[in-house]
Amino acid sequence: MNERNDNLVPRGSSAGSSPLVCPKCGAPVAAAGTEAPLKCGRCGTPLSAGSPRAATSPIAAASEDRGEIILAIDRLSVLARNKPLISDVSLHIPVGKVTAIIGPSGCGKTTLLRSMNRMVELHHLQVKGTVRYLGQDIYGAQVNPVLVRRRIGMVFQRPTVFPTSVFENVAFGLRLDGESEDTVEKAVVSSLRRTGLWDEVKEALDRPALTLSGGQQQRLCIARALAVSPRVLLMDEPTSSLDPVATQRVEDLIFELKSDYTVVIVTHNMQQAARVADLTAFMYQGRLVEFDTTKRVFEQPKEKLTENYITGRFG
Amino acid sequence: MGAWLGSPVALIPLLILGAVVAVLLIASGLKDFGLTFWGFQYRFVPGEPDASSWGIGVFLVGTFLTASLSLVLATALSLALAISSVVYLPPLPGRLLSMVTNLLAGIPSVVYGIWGFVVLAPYFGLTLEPSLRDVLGWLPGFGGPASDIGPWGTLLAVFVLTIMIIPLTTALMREALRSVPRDLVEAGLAVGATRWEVVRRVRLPVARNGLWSAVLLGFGRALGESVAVAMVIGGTSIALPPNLYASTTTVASFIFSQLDSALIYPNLFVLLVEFSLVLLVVAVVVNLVAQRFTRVELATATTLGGGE
Ligand SMILES: Nc1ncnc2c1ncn2[C@@H]1O[C@H](COP(=O)(O)OP(=O)(O)O)[C@@H](O)[C@H]1O
Ligand SMILES: [Mg+2]
Repeated sequence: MNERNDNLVPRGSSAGSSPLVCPKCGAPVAAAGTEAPLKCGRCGTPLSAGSPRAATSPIAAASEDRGEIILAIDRLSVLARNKPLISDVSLHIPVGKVTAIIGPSGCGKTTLLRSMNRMVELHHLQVKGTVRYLGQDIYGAQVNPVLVRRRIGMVFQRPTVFPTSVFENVAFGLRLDGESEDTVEKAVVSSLRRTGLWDEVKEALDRPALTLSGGQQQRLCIARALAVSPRVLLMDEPTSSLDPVATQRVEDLIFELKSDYTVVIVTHNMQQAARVADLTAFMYQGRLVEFDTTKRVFEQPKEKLTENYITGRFG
Repeated sequence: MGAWLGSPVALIPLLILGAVVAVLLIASGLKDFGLTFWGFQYRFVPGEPDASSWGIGVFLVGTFLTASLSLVLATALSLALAISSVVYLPPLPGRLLSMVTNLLAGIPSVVYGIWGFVVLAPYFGLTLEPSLRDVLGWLPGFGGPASDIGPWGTLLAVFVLTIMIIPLTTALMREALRSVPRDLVEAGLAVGATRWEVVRRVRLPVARNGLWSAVLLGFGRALGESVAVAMVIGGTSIALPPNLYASTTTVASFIFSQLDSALIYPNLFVLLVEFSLVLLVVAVVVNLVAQRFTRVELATATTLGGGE
């Protein structure tokens, strides 16, 4: 994997000269070219984005989880022509876990997910509130959305392979950086191995990616996202177009990815959330209703609305 | 195949094409498609068919020269226009730009012709051609003297043609770029590509066939344009132009400008009919190739599973 730089502000711009600092002791924590630690090297404070405002939103953090927060969403609203698609959502996503977002169709799951890497902006939607990645507001004036998407990757509902070869699909993001052929090849192979595709496609790297099966295509898209070394992987109903066997493989993969990545997955399939997710957020009509460990959400939900949904009384 | 041949309505375009070819073939009497016809010798002696020689060579060179040069310019400009209206401009200005370019497509050729004749020509003669000669004079075609008939000539025809085909090529390129599945564009952005990188590495490759088809249809349009070209190309010399400032002639503009004489000289009439046949064949071939590209495009879109 190539190096990760968690600074979202382009180098050379004025704010870029003040890199990520520890909120407690002020020590710089993200030296360029090194893996940014998730804890401050000097005082050990986790680089969670816990802010005073977050404390005012009771369901921002899951009850049992006090781990490091990689993505802190606070009081987030997304509006289309002044009509809110999601309202006042606060959600703190812990590092190294799989977080599922569930809820009935049209409740704003996709919108919430797409606000986590600034994809909402492509639809001319208005964003209020904050989303912080390791403490940095990703909507900050100096922040480059391209760098945000490098660290926070995304996989879509349907496989989105480019009409090029298997190899070039995975290499896509690396080519943008003008990496050397050697680096590209290493990263492609390692991403393909990581997604379990290597053995299936190693003889067919030059074949058009469109000749792969749907499930392979979706894993290829995951490999493409992993190749640029993100920390977070956002997945929007990644198995909704796949058959049960292919779905199983993707779910297994999500489970394995946990050791190196933070995964946020939108799903309309409650069983899937129960199978893969450590934490589950339930949304209803643009609001976050409940966020807790998957076990709690499914076994002892606090909200009546959640219970009704879980027990299949609507949705 | 059999299904649509069986439908009588589907036969109408075929009948029209057949009728046009047949009438032209009969009118030409298939007199002269020999070696001299394809040569570069053109000598017309009124009323003396035997002393005349009809080489279409010069006209074909003039046609392909003006059409290709204008196509190069139009392709670059249309691509820029199409990319900005589809990718960069906000929805409203984007639509406005599309509307204006579409409007330009509806302006009659003769209006472009008179505009080129009256407005562009003086500018060419006084400003553009001298500065081109100064700057690019070392390039073949850009050096050499101005034409003695004035600013009307190859370069002016190229510019007028460019302006005339831009609306068509821009509209087709816009469609090609729009048909790129939105999912793919977003997938590119989601791996951290900039908008420009997505244009270069996703949109253009995915829309490739549609773009080629746009270029070819623009080429077809430029090859066949007669009125406006006849008005600005000079048209006094039937010879290969020594440079871009010189006058030359094209198959289409020649047919248009010689119609009156053809009524007087039967052998010239036959010649013009033969020329039209050649133009027809060229146009059909160009369009068939363009259609091939469109079909490939549709096939890729289906295998991609399409987007919204
Ligand atoms: N770009 C947009 N402009 C206007 N409304 C939108 C846009 N995108 C989504 N919506 C609306 O926002 C609501 C939430 O959509 P979405 O986030 O896709 O829900 P989900 O993924 O939970 O099905 C829906 O009512 C949808 O119609
Ligand atoms: Mg959705």
